[in-house]
Amino acid sequence: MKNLTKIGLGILTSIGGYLEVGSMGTAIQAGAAFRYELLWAIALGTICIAFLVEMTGRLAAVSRHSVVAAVRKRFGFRFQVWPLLSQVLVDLLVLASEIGGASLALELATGYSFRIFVLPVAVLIWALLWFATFGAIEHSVAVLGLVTLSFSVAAWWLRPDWTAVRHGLVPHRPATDAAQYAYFAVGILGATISPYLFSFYSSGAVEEEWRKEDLMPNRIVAALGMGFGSLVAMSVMVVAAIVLAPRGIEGEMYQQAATMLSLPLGHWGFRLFWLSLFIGCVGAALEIALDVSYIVGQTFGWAWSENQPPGEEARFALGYTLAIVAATAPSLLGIDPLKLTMFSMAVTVVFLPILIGPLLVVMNDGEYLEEYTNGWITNIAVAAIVGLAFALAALAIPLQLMAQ
Amino acid sequence: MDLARDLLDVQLIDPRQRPIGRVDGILLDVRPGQPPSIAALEVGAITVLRRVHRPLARWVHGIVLRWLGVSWRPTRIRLEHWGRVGVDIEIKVGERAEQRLLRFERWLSTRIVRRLPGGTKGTKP
Repeated sequence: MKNLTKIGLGILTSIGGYLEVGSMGTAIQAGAAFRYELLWAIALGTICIAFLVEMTGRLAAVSRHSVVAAVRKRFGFRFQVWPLLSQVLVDLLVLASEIGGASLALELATGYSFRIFVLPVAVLIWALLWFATFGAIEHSVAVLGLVTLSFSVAAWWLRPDWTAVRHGLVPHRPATDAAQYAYFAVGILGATISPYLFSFYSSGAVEEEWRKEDLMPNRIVAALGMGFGSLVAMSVMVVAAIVLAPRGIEGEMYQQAATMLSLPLGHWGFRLFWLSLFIGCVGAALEIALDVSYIVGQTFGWAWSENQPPGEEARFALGYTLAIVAATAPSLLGIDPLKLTMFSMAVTVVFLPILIGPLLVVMNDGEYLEEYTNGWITNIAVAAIVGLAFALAALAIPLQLMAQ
Repeated sequence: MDLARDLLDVQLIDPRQRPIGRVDGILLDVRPGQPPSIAALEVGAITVLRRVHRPLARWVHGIVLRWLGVSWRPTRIRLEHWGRVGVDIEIKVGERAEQRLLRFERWLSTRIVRRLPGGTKGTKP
């Protein structure tokens, strides 16, 4: 039973990778434009992120240190200042997108402009972090996140063409519009392999006081948690392929895309759509705001824990408070949440190499990992992921320009 | 011991095992005819900033001095009592050093955070 509750950390982490506004949006657009042809990008992203999450969970279980703490010790501050600054920037941009996304979900629900919901959403996220413990946040978001499985139910009910699905799971060249196809592939991979996922996951494993006995559960949690997110993201793409593609809806507007669950699930479909979007965005926002506090606290060696009352760790509470204030500004100033999302995804991809690269060294450090350092399979996997990160970073900006 | 590898950037923990900062800098005592020895460890944001970019650290120091009237100095800890706990160094810090290390934390906690609802001890189950 105790091991069963650990899956909560996997599900919460995967929500930030797959069910947040950027990932949902790209999956919908890619499904509407290329039907099943980009399923492989979700699958590839899942393999990468499951490897990274398992590794950083292992680091936390063996050394009781998060990945940021290990990078500072091994590389020193003069290097670490760059990943730190880039991750704070990425976190703030994505957090701003999530606050916008959750407000957009409420716009869909009520018909009122998203702008009036920005402040209440930000206050809700802050209050949850201020008053609740890590466990309470983790388990409630994980349980509520299961609502997103309605996409999988819908995908199943719509009877997809399984031969085409299988074909889509294998990387291949598109029949038309290669530039757009590559743009979506980079977008999906970039939205999935988010750097805050593994810094958050390893911090969460330290919060939950994982030990060496938890190494096996860690593997299962990494696989099942990321598998859950991946399943939902693929379902979103399949539903978009079946419902939106034949009607020529491009999925760029959430207002149109929101109807995609109505065909299979009736009037409940629309409610489940905005509810899924809202839960995904709020869950991701909680994860990312905490991540800002985690990485800053770990870099400077302060006490950090979401389980302590704010008065006990005031700097920790100040971290997420300032992050939420900063991330609320763009939506309040009227910047379109979807444009912000596209921009923050591109920025994430550009910084991926510097954020993943250090893992190659840290995961082979016997001082932290004792006899549990990376084996040859995991080392090849990280090297390949770092290579992929470089390729994505190099492609992101030219593709963004070509797509516009 | 290789100072840069083994001591710099190491996590410091107090006797209650609580993280209390990192070794941001090392002060060496260099005397002619004798091998250099560690005079003190420095902990503080201004020290790490100096490691990244000296002019920037000077500029920040100047701004803080001018606007807040505070001379932002790092805390210096004598390396008297220390031991290893896993990959961390446990350093027994004196009362005064601990207070200096936690001065911003304590100020923030008592002046602002504890005055807000839910900010006090024991509210999180």
